[in-house]
Amino acid sequence: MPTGRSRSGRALLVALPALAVACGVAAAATATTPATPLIGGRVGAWDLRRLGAHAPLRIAPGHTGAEVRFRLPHGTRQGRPLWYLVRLQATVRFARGVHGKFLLTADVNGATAAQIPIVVRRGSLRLEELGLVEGRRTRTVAGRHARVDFRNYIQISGIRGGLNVLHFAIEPLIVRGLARPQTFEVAVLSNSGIEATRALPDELLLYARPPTVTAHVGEPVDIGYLLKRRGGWHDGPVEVHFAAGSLDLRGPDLQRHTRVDGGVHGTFTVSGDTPGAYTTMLAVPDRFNEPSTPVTVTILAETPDTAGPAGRLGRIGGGGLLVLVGLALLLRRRRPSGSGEAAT
Amino acid sequence: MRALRAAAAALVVAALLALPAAAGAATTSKLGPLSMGYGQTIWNYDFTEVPGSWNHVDWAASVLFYNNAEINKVKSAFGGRYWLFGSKKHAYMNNGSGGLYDDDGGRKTDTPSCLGSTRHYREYAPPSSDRMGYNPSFGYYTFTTTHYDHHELCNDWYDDSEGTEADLYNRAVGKGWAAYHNYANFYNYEWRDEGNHHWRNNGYATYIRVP
Repeated sequence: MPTGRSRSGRALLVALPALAVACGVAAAATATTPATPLIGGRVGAWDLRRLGAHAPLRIAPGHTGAEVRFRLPHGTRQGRPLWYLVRLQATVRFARGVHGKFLLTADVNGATAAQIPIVVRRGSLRLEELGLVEGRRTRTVAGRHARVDFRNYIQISGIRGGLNVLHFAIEPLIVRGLARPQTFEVAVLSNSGIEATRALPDELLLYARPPTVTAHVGEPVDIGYLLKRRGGWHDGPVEVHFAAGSLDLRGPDLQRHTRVDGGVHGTFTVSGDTPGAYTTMLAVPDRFNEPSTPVTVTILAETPDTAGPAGRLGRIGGGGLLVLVGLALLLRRRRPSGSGEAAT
Repeated sequence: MRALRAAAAALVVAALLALPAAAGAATTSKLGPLSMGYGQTIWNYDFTEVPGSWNHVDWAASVLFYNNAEINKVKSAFGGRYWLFGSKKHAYMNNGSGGLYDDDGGRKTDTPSCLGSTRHYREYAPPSSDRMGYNPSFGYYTFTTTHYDHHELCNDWYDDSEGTEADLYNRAVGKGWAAYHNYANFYNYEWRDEGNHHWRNNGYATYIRVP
């Protein structure tokens, strides 16, 4: 008498191994690739925990870095309309005997958004943070341990819909003492991650008014400027610096403004002892995009008062020029108004 | 990449620094600042002396390293072939904190000799930070002039900026880096002989993305 299994029994035998394999695959998948969170699409901040990572992420010699995966909604593009930022909050520690220069970096899909050079000296660390949120911050920290908290706009090429990879790394550049054990240690802290904002990268716009000026030897001439801002970050104090080169500057070489608001004006006054063309520079260092603009100052040989017949001719010519400029302005006002102000 | 091209192509009004010439220096009528966006400007030639001027330029800017570029990092990456220090020249730039010069001897492929030739590049960025500023199009970047030295110790001459630019490009591609040959107009086309300074530059700079 045949003792063969029933149809249902055979089906069970086939199904059980298949179920076991499926469960095994699922378990393995959970262990190696945790579910990739979908973030973005609205203003917010997603720290390491919300990105599914266990903080701190530790990077030590021999590691290629640490990475976190996340997904963005289909069709996401940087700045359309949300701007995505990376936040890198970390501690770095270097062993005694290590000297040189390291780069602490964060990138999204290979597009670097944080590059912080750390110069390791005998008793101090020098760090330079440079980005579009806080501008340039250079600091020296005593000892061999420092904390970093840096935010910056991700590159336009760094953001895309679907899967994205946030990667943290430290790279030795010119380093002595790397052979020592525990040369360095980086801990990427829990507040690191991705942020989304509607605030544009802040941009200061600095215009010279006018961009070229002319004066005679010894005659003071004003160099005016207009500083405006664009973007969504908080307004605050700014300093406009002026580099007069070899011209004589009358007064201080910087002017402070408590806020930019809709725009601030100012004037620096210079004079020259020697005829020639001079390039001077207006600048707003250490704030956002750190704008600057050159101003060409032409110093003429003779003052109008000491000029002879040639000077009179010059004045006649100058008067003629003024009439021509006036005519041109009149004609221009009759035409429809053109586009807005051009950035310098 | 369109933003990259647009930013690089925005040539702002040239403000030449008129100062006395150095004997034997090369000259150009195309010296000018290139606006890179976000208040950052580089000048499209380097100089044999400071302050720079149209009448003592050295070579045309022809390569831009970007994304995660830093002077030491780039030189280290190309150090296997470009290993020898060269003589220092100077480039002018503005990273937003005002105009400044950087000095660089660059790196060469071989020692000077009577009969040999060496490829040579010089890489510039503000000396305090070894990179230009950050912007959303380029990330962190540096810029480079290129040329080819011949018979430096006997009857010397210099040329082939394009060849050294292409050599850097090929090496970058060989490393698996993204690179774009002759990508953006730097407005410094020079194809003429000026003494032993044989200009061979097509005016278009190669962009190399540093990972």
